[in-house]
This record gives sequence, structure tokens and C-alpha cells, in this order.
Amino acid sequence: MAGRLERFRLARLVRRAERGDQRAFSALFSALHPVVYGYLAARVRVRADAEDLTAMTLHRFVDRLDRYDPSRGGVKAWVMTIARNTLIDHLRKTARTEVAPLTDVEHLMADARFSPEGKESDPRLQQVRDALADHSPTTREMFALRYGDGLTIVEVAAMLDMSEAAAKQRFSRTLRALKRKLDNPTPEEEVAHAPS
Amino acid sequence: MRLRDRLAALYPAPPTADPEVRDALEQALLKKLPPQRPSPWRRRALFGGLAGLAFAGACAMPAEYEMDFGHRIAFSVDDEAFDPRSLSDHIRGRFEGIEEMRISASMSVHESDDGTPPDMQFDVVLDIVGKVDGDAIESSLLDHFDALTATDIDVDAIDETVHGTFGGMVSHRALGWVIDRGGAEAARARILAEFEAQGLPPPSRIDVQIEDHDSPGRHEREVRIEVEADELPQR
Repeated sequence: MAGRLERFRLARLVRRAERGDQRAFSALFSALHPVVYGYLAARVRVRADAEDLTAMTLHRFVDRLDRYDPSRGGVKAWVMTIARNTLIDHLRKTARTEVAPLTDVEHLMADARFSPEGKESDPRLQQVRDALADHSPTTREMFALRYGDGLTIVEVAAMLDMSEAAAKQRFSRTLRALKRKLDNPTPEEEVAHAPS
Repeated sequence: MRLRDRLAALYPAPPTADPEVRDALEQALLKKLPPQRPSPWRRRALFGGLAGLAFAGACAMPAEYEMDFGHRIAFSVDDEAFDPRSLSDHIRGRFEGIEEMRISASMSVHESDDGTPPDMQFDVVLDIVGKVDGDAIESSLLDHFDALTATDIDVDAIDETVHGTFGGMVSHRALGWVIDRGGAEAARARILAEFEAQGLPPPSRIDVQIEDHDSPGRHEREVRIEVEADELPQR
């Protein structure tokens, strides 16, 4: 996982891009576009929507380059927060017009990447899916960001506006609970997850 | 299959972007950038060079340096049963190519008045020099130490190209690593090597002074480097 130097590098690129340095911006774009597009494409069904949302996110990012404050977090966390807000707006509109009248942002965001009702062909994965489905929407979103999108705990915390310590504690606690549950399934769960 | 792998397998990899759409977006964004203006830092450096001695002027000359100082792997862990000393054995036993490794670990305990148990946290940094795969070490640590599952592991390859000035190079944090590991002699050798690599005559003087200041719970190291040469490395 890229570390502190990568975060410093991105922050420096933002400063240079803000001064009109096109090479710096291209390097920044190369680093951020795959993460932003991957995050959005994994959560919306239509490819064109993912492309539009990516463009909206990165246009907003460029419009705000001069407002970047390194003391408030890394560049990646910042652009991903913009992507998340853009996605929330999109999902709210879609929910109103196309799908069920979902208004709960937490559920929208948790289940955009991970459907608790989904089915896995591998019983070991189904077991984890079922165990994770028992947790709160925020926790499910945190796990999707970390294990699905490969973000760091610091980045997840910044995106969800929580402290790093709180995020870390929630990951630790949930992982322990998942492990306990997977190691000690109830008889009903054992039957449900037995290989067919 | 470990829990970490099972969790990752729950989320299918997202589709990759269409390169044409991606490139068109990059071009559109490039057009939004303001006209290029010079770095304020460079202006300050130039001013310092004009106002100071010949050495200061030389310091403001642009230069570019490739630096390779191995890897730094850093993480925090809050499991009190975790023993940082076990890292060294594990990594040495599994990876070849490690020339030198240093582990620094600190522990902090946070207590609150509300009756909750104290929160204990280790901060561990591994400095590894040699031809090793930092990502492989990260995966290996995650596989071997359950306590690291819920932590960020930062892996930094310290092989930066430093764009700046010669003065910037000698004060760069990477040189601090050389000094930490090998002291003044290593720093002197590193500077000489830089001159040699660029085909320049060696400097007439390299003065590296290191002073350590210890006080209870605090260690400070002051480093002063002066180089005099007819010609300094340039871009």
C-alpha cells in the first residue's frame, strides 16, 4: 500500500498543478483517475453514468485545487470525498426516479457496492457475506471502501468524516466479531453454508 | 482462505475505464488549469543566492538527483500481545536481498477517565536496505501477523528523483537517512559519489557536523553540512 511519500508526492503535485504545471497535473490525473473511476463504476450500473460521474468529480477537483489544505488529509481522500458526494447526489436522484424510494443515504452508500441479499457460489464467501450483512450500513460501506476499493483506513475515515482512531477501532471490532462468528457458527449456519 | 482474502473476494474488481474517454477528460481538465507561473520557492531561492555568498548562489542552481535508500515500512498496531522483535526474524527468514534492516518501535498508552480500558498502540517502522520487494513484505506481514489485519501498512520505496537544488539535495530528508545509518562519513561519501556520478571534480571541502542533544524523553540531532566546490551538480 502506497505510503507517506506517495501522499507527499500527490500533495506536491496539487501545488504544482495549481500553479498551472501541466506535467504535474497529468501525473496527478494518472494517479487519481483509476481510483475515482473504479470507485464509481463499481457502484453504478451504467458505464456512461460512471464516466459522467468521474468527469463531474474531477472537474470539481480541478475547480477547487487552490482550496486544498494538506493539514486536513491526503489528496486521494479529498478527491474520493468529492466522488462520494457526487455519487450520493446521483443515487438520490436515481432512487427517486427509477428504483424504490430509498432516502436513507447510509443504506444507499452501503449497498451500492455490497448487496446484503447477494448470493455467492462459494459457501465460504457466502458465510462472510451473511456475517457482514448483520453489521450497520456504515460498517458495510467502510469494508467496501477498504477491501473493495483498496483504500487505507485513514482515507476511509476521511471520506466518512470520522476520526482515524474511531475508524480503526470499528475495523478491529468488526473483524474480531466476524472471525468469532466464522469460527463458531450456529448449527443452522453450518447447515446453510455446507458445501452442496 | 484467510478472512482478509475472503473479504476482498466479496467485491468484484470494477471495470477499467475506456482509454479514449479517459484521455478526452484529461485534455478537458488540462484546459481548465491556470497559466503556468513559477514556484514562489524558486524565487526565494534565487533571491537568497544573489544576496548571499558564492556558495549560496551555487546552492540555488537547479539539479536533479536519483536517490535509492531502500524501503520504509510503517504501521501502527494496537494489540498488546504484538512483539515488534518478531518482525525481524520473520522478514529475514523469508526474504533474500536485505542488506540492512533497522526496526524502531515506540508504544503509547492512552487512558481516559470514563472507565474504558486503556488504549495501547505500537508505532513500528522498518527501514530496509537492499533489493527487496516492499509489496511482498507487506503481504507477508499481513499473512503472518493477525494483529496487522486492521491497520494501514505504509510501504515507501525511498528511491525518489529529487528535483531542486544542490542545497536542497544536501538538506533532503533522504540524506538524513544516510546520516542516521552511517554518520558523517557516510554523508560525505554520498556527496562525493554524487559529484563523481556527474563527472565533476571532487569538492575542495565537505564539512559534516553532527551534534546529538539528549534530554529526558527526547532526542534531537542537529546536522550541518557545508560543501565548497568550483562546480556543482546541475540538472
